[in-house]
Amino acid sequence: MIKTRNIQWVVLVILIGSSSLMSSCKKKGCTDPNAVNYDPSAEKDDGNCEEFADPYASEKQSAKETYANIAFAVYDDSYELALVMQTAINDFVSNPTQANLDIAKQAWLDAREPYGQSEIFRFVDGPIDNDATGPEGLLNAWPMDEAYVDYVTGVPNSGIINDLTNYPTINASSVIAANEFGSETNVSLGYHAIEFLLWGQDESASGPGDRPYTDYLTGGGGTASNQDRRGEYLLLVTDILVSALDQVRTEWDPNNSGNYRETWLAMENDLALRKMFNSIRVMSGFELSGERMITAHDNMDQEDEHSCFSDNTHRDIIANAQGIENLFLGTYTRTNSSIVSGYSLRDLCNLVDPTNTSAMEAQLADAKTKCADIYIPFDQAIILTAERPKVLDAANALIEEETLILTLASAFDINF
Amino acid sequence: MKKVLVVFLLMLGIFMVACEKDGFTFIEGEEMLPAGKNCSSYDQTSYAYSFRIKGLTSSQNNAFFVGNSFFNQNWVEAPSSTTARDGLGPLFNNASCSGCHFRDGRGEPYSGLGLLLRLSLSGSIPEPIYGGQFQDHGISTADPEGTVEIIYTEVQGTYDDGTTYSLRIPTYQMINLNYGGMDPNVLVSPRVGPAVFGLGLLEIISETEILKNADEFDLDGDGISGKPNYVFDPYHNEVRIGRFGWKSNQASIPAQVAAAFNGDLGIKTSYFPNENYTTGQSVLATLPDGGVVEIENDDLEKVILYCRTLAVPIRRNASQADIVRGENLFRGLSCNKCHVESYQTSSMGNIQPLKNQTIRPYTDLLLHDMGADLADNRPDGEASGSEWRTAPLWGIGLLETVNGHTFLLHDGRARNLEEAILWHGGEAQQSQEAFKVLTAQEREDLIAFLRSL
Repeated sequence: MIKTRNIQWVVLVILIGSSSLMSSCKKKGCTDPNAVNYDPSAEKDDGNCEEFADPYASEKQSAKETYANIAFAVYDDSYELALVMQTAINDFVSNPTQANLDIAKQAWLDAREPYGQSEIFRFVDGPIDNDATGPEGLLNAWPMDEAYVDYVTGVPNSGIINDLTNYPTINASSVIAANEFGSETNVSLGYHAIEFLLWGQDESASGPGDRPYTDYLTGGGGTASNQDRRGEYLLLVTDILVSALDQVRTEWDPNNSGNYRETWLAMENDLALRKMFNSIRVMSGFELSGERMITAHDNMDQEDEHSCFSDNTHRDIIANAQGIENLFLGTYTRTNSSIVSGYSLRDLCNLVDPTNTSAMEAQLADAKTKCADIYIPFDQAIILTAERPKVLDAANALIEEETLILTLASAFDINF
Repeated sequence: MKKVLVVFLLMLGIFMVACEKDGFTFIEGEEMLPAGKNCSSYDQTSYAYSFRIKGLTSSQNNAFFVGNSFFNQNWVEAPSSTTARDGLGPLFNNASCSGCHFRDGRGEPYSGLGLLLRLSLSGSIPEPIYGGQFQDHGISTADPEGTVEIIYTEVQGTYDDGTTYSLRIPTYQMINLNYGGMDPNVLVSPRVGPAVFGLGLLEIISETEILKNADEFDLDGDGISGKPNYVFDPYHNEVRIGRFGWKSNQASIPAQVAAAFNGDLGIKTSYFPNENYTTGQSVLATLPDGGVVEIENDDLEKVILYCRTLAVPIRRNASQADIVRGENLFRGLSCNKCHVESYQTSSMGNIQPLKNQTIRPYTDLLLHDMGADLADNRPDGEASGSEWRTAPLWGIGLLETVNGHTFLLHDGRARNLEEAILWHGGEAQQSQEAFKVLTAQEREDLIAFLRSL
């Protein structure tokens, strides 16, 4: 009897067990991938998803706000100083004198300071360089193909400016179409195009390029040919640059609605955090250290220098390094000396990994010092035997930042 | 009660196993990482193909950066003040590697954006004037060989459920020829630049592992052969199994890189010391060049290292229900017989993080007859005119994110994954037909799986 009863009991369990297991296996469960108890095999939600309560949610939101505020401030400064530069360039083209050329050059150098610090907002498909509309390629593409734009030593008729056949008129659509056609090549626009048009090729060991202002002198007495077209080209690329900066600035403007700032603030915290970490690791471990410093150091070639016409590369490096620090410490000093700051990535990291947060702060300071120690001009820093090691030291200090930021990111379960 | 509990646990065990057999479960994390912790990249942005693997030495890191710059930046014609980067042409298809592999991804079927035509006469003899490749660009003092014109013809087809689709059949014409008439019997193979990440891992799969999947004479009778292409490798100076290129016509990354520098850019290396024109184009011989070799071995090695050390992007949502269903269909339709899922890399070479890794490239690196519709009818090494190498599928779901297009197959004729599947013929005919039998939902699931790679 007992035996039989037992068997019946077992059969019952099997039936109940199998039916419930089969249904849970094929159907019910939590189907929200963000839930703690997400069941990848579930096809139907059972209404029992348990959401992950992030203990740092409000801190992450605050760090996002600081990021957005700094992004707007740095692009706003970039835009304002580009406008100042545009005024100076307008004056120079309408009245080409050495004095006006010098004013335009200084305005270019000033405009680079905030822009260099803004580059930390790249690499995360944000307003500056998203695939569809990001204008980064119109702003800072390099290296510049001098001969693609204007005459170079030994080739007096090269470039779009001197090519009346293919470019009978110089207008925005043809010049934009010619820029970066097909790949990161044929650069004809952006800061470095303006730089080339103001300074010319740098053939001096001690100083920058020395383009005569008379390259723009129309109505007799001018040097090179097509002075009027050169002026038109310079005005046009400046105008495109100003518009591109305005576009990015608008996307971060807190007074606008429906822009990227809103998207950013509403973005899932961990995705936004991932983007912050990503920008730092790409800038420190690749773009600045690798592309802009180690490659130049290895090739010992002026072509690998970022601002090769103006000899301003040392400032590019410092501004980029400053941008990394701005993002991490959540503070940015504006052109007018006011300070934008708030709850920072550093503050957030300090909650989970204070040791490596301190190490990162020290590393940022160390890298900045080493970047400032690089010999000026940079094109000599990569050639002079006694100076070369400093370039590599600074680059390695930046790569160390990458190592630390990867460690800090992993403390938030963010992997790269 | 004890007995009951045991039985219950037993049942639980049985059903869990059943679930696994249905493909519903997987080891968390492992399938997300196509190339292990060090060689997979978590980046999902438009730079997803461009990150280096982790764990390189400091000097390898530096070489990667320099290789990256040589890969991305334009070469210029000689003579130039840019001495490290002059020597382009005189004939070329593109002025930089990245011109055809933008952001280390896949080219598009347009001149200057990734398309080139290989040429030969019967017996693998180069075309007498135009050589082994049609270069549709020239430096300022050299005429290009001509212009490539592509005409597409749409052809309609129908799934078993009645849904229609359309494929475009390309025809290629070389016009505006600048160096005289071309042999009317010339054989033409159009090719688009493939993505370049993960190559260092494919390079060190042992030949033994590759040959395990080979079945040249289909002795197992499953309709699928799998044939190695044995090719001469100029870098290692020996015959090896081909792994790279649309017909597995290069055995190593150094050979692939040096051949591309020569054929596509007109850059001489110590392995290809001659410019890429023929005796029929002697007018080009008087033009200045960038030196005996135009990229020094030291820099060439850095480009090679760069091409070996680009990480593979991780999968997305691998455990999502539709993607898991699609993965089961992928296996059910025998796609994985050629798109072989996983390997263990060997310990060859000097790049530590690449060694002994479990990787999931979805390729057997072997040649397969893909049918008359896909055939270029131009033999290449031991590959016949209808044989193609199984293309790796890893990272394919990020193609649109990185390159802004979804053109697939050797000449970019397929406009998306669905069309690429439908073009499969020959040994893949059975799988293609099985795909057409699927319901719309099942087809979507399969595509969802591919997009998760």
